[in-house]
Amino acid sequence: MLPAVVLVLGKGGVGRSTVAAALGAGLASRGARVLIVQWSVVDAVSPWFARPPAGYEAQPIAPGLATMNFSAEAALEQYFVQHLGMRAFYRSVISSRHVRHLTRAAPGLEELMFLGMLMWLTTLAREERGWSYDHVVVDPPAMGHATSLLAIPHATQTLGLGGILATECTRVAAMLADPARSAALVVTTPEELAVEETLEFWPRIARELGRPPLATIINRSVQRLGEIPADPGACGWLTAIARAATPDARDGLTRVYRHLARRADREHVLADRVAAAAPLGLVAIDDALLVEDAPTPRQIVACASAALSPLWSQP
Amino acid sequence: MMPRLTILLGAGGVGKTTLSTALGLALARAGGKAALLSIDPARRLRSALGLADVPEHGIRVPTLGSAGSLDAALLDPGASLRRWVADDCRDDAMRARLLVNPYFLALADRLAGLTDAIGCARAVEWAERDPALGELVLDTAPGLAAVELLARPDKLMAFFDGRLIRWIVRLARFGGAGLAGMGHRMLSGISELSGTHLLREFGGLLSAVDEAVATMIARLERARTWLKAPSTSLVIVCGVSDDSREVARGLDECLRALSFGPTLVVLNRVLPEALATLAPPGATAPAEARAFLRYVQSYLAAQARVRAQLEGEFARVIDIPDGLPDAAAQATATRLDALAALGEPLRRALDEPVQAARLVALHGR
Repeated sequence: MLPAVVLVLGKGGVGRSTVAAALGAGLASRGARVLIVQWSVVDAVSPWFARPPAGYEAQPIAPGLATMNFSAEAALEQYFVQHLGMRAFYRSVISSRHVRHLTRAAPGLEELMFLGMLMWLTTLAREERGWSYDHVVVDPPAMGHATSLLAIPHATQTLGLGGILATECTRVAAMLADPARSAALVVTTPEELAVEETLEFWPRIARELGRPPLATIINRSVQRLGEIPADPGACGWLTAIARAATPDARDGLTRVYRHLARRADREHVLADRVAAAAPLGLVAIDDALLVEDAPTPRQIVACASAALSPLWSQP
Repeated sequence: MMPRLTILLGAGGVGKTTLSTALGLALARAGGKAALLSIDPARRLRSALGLADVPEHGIRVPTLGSAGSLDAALLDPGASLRRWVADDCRDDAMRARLLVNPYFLALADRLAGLTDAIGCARAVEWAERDPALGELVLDTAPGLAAVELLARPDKLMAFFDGRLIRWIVRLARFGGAGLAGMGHRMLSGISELSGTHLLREFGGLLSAVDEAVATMIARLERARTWLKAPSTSLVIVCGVSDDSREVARGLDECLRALSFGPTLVVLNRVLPEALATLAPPGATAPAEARAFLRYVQSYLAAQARVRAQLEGEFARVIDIPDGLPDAAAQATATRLDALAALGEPLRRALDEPVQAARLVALHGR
């Protein structure tokens, strides 16, 4: 069973928001109440469900499923005014123009607000606002940033932090350290840069969290092509296709084949390097182009949801 | 006279880094004295260039008999910031303390999220140090955030320039003596949040990096003018996917709202149209062959759809074929040729002005 907070980590462009959408839709279809929390310039999840982009307020996108896009300023206001009940302090200090410059650039403050909000959503929001989500699926900024996100709770020690923020750091650290409350999934595609970055960040995530990510998800997998040899000449079915093709098309065929064979090879590398350490190993989502003729957003999310089902069917 | 600046923007995974490297190489082949500031290139790309490592301070790329030259440097804002502070800090003991100060490390980390703004300052530094430089190619972090930071380096400056920062520095230097009214209220409010220790240490750090920050702010000011120069080109890289086309459109909207000139759009990894002539799989074809042919046909369909949409939105769309060759089993010369050939259509396009008539048809002016 997945914990309340599921962090979906990965490099830009690997399909983190597709995976977050598919995971949310899959959990919601089994009766769970799910919120997808994003932190990006534009909400990328709502379009998968043919809805306009959401803001800081949660927007329902499917039965049992809602999404929101984090804003540090809105979170600061919510934290001080509604959670701490410090409206006067918020007005005179936090919302002042001078302090805003600082809060925008101060190392780690926005990240701490983000993590604090995740903790609030899965615990105190029930009594404070009457909300209750079974799962909060988190689509944070791209990987480099996300690992600094995981380092934030340690700031109390490294920066000698005191006051309210130190208390907040301690609470957030406890949430991230508890496998019953939070888990991380790492998403990658079998493309070169994405795999290199995943292999580099995987151990860092494991170190910051104190345990390995729950699973590595390979998006746009080419596993449907089976074991394909690197040499196009050694592939029987390709040779048969090429025999019937024009010379121009034959050249293109070889190029596409080589590209897909390299992707298959990188999936093997991932299986060798990161699968064993993750409790749920590798989960592959087919490249929709191999499955559907002209995949629609709904088909892509449905296909990904089906592939992700091992994540919630495991005990 | 600043060099000609070309900035590549686009969604994640569309091939900006490969294409900016290819462009740098094509410019060197054409006789230019070129520089490339790139986000961490893939191992295959480094080996295609014959380099084991691309350092932050830059390295000469072996261009094998080119008339021009190419220098490449890694865009690493944290490392740049550390180097600038080390350059500007004359006191050795202070420098040593600073480089291990946890606040400094955290600040450098925070600025790493501002890759593009720092990238601009880094580009200006390069142009200042190498007056003979003719071309500078800047690779950017993926997504829409890049544009905002490129266009508004003042956001970054606002932080260092703010009144609060001056109060914090004063607190660190003089223990808060003479701070009255609003300054006092703000600082005691923040102490309540974070404890006084953090505030004092942070202030100490800010006063230590003062000079480096002043240099950086001056460079960001120069970058602002340079970005708007007529010789500067903004290139949006788009892949064969609806997501990356959405990002391309978002980037174009932001750029026009910020009154940047017309942008060039590149459709990357285009497959040859000849593949459309492939026969459908026979009744006895194996499942793998069916999946493969479906992939080719779906890709071509997506390619045609994305190109038609781009052509409706942009003044000029350039196709770049799919095809960085395998690094293995090929001589360096062949690999460099292939990489330079990939960048050549973009290099030529940069030299041709966009037709005014086309722009009027698109945007009504």
